[in-house]
Amino acid sequence: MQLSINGVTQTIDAPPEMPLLWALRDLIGLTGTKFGCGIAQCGACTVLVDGVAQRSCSLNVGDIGTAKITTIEGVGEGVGDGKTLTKIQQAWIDEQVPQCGYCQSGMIMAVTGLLAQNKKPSDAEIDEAITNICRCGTYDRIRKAIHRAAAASAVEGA
Amino acid sequence: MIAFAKPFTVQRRLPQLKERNMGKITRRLFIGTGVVAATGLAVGAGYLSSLDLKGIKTHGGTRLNAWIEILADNSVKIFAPRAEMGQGAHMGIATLIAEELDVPLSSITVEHASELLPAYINTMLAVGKRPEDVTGLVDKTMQRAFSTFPYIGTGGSTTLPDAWVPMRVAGATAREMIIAAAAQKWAVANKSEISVADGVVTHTPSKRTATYGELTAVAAQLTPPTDVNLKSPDQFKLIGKTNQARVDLPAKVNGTAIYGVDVKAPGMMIATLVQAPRIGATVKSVDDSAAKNMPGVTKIIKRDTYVAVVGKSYWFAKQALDALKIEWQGGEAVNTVDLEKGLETAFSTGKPHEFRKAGDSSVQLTAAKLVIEARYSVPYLAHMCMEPMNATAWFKPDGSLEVWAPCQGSVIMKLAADASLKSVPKIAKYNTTYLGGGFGRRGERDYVMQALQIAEDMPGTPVKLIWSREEDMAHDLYRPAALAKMRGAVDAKGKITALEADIAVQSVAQAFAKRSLPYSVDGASDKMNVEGLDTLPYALPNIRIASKVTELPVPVGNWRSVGNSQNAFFAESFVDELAHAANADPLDFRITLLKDNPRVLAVAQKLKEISGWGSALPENTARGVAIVESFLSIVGEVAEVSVTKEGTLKVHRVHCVVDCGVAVNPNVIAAQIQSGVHYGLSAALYGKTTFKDGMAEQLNFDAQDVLRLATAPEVIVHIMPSTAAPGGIGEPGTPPIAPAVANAIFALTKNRVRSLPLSDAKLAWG
Repeated sequence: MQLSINGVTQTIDAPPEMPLLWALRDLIGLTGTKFGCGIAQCGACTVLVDGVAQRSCSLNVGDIGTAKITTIEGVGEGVGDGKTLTKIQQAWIDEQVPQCGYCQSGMIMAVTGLLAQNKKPSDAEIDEAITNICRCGTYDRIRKAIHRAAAASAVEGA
Repeated sequence: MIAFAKPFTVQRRLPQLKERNMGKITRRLFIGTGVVAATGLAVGAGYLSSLDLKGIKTHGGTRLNAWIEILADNSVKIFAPRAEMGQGAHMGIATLIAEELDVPLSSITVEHASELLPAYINTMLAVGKRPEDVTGLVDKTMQRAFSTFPYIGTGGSTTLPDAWVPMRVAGATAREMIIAAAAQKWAVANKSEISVADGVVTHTPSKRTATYGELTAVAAQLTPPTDVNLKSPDQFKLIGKTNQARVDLPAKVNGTAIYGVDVKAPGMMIATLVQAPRIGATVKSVDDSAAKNMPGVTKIIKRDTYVAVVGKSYWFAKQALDALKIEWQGGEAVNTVDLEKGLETAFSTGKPHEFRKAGDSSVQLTAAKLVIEARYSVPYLAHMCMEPMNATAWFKPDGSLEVWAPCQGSVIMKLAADASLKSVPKIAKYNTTYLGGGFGRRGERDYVMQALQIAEDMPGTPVKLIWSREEDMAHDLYRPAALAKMRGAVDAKGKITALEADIAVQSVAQAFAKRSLPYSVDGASDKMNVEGLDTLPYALPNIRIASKVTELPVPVGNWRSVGNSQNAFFAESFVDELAHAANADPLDFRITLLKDNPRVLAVAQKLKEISGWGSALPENTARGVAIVESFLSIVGEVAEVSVTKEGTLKVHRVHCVVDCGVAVNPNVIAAQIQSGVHYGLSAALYGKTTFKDGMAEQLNFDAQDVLRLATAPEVIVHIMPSTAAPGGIGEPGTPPIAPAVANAIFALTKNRVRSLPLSDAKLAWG
């Protein structure tokens, strides 16, 4: 089976009902996407599927087809240590968001999906769209970072 | 210095060792003391030596002592023996070292030290005192005993209180060695002509400069000085500055941070398991006929209390695990109602242990015109770290062992090996990864023992064990359920004339020691039974605080802020009841009772100022307050809470004031208070683990909700300026939030909620 992941075609030997999360982590070795609950509740496993945020623990590889998958490793320009941060990642640093950091790959991917569809979300729209769980309670700073990233993108777009 | 009006109670994970246990400990733990002395790594000046670090890990640079390596490119590696679980331990240690070493934080990377050096022990956690306060034979003997252990653990909000002096001394000692190396190289007789800044050494008269990286190899050959000076607060470049960027965040925004679940090793297999679902049950039989031939399955391992499947992916292993037909036997088929009866029985038949007694509360209560009596209760709570329990072990072909785990202490892996293996390899390396949350759960060793056992059955193959979320919640070591009976009286002047509290609870320290430590702890006198109550900061001339411990089948453990998590709810809710009985404003009532306790008083007054206490609020909204001392810090919180007439609760905003002594990393402190509030509020609103037929009933986030963006309040944090030595910060934000919210509910609806979680309470009013 072939999957398009971060712009690279990956060939994997997996049954179609295998969740994308485990194909990414165990077969392809991309461990930035995290396992939290396995039932699409916590959002730690969020990736983009053709630009739309989805929970990869509950998405079977057999249902993906030619859709383009983007994981936390696939955002930003360049490769390795020289890779640039996206506006969202930079906002996460500027607001000093992460604590343990385990949920943040999923948070950043969920927000990447949101800002692609809604360039300047209101607080209510953020509440509705980002239902990921953070047990450290970084929510205050996540909200600020989303607004900061939206503002930074607006400045660039102007 | 701000003086305390009363001695500050040292609270920590392990109670003072009982006298009667000391003989056993000293005999057991002093074995090997001679070795420690010979290597020069015993606690004391020797821990700063660079001379005995041969063979210790480097990144190609030079180790100047147990914590610091400087590379030729002038970058600095810090080996931190404390786990980074979000609380900023690595940032804190890096800041203290960098301040005295005089290097920019941007030049530093931090990793968890993998060697089990005696110098790495957590004195604050083990002995209950700051290292600089360890004086006298008893304390020093205990510190040496724990060094041999060696007690390398992270918990009890101890990292900064423990590190405050030694890590600055470590940085200053390395700095002086570099200066001495420069003086030697440049033949400068007067070292005072040499200055350092940002990793560069300068000899002003001759205008010569050199980087630390150029001097470190020479410096490492010099004898470390024993009389270094530390900076005065006005010289700080890093400590207390708000513009510091956490050293661990770049890797946490791009997916490269390695947690336990992310560990990779050549040829690694992945395991998952199912443990006996009923408390105390064992495996009777396993039918693996359907599972063993499923794709990607390597091995099925049966043990007394669990069955594990090893495979090419967690998912392959989990599919096969679900296809096993397992028959379990035995166990304790208890229901929550039985456990509640157990606590009631402790009240009626248990022997009280008094922790705080002053004056004569019973005489005062008899004489009082109005006695307030109340009964409070809280349920068992799971930790629910974002990262499910996991560990990786590899019995290598050369006979050595390597272990990786997201553990609150590298010694936990060693203890797990000692306790679970048929034979512990002579050479073993214990790696601590980043932790996806800890909250006390990862001070346990159960998941490490299992990974070791499974890997021991597959010599040569690295095996990573990952629990499902369901296993994580079904097999937690829970915050104990507890009952409290409170009695109190106030006089016409608004003074508390008597306060009595009796707590029925399981001892966490006793349970933890029984599971994980080579010595026992007396449960009846476990201070964690009453912490949060015996630490009430108010003027209480007649007070009696006692606990009655009981043993129940549910395993209990350290849950962020431990006893404070329930006792502060009892204490600060009941103080609120007394305030209302006295017809007093709840915050003014507290302020009046704090006049002899200036540090807590200052927090209360600042809280009144910044929270807008008494000002108008939207309809159906009220404020509640709670102030709690824990882990050497003081946190006051005012919660703004609305309750609709139909009973829908929302916490909108929480104002917090924290006095944690010197604010080493203000940004981290604010984050930890926000974190503590959110963690405590998730539990107060929704948290409970109930048991049916001996099995936990809440097994994933669908059955046990937690705060999310839509439900999380805004949390505003004010940090009090202070020059006192740092207190803890990982836990003190948690205890005040439950009572602050319950007190706000009462202020609005006159409904006193005395049992958690709030989602089980009927809050409709009006």
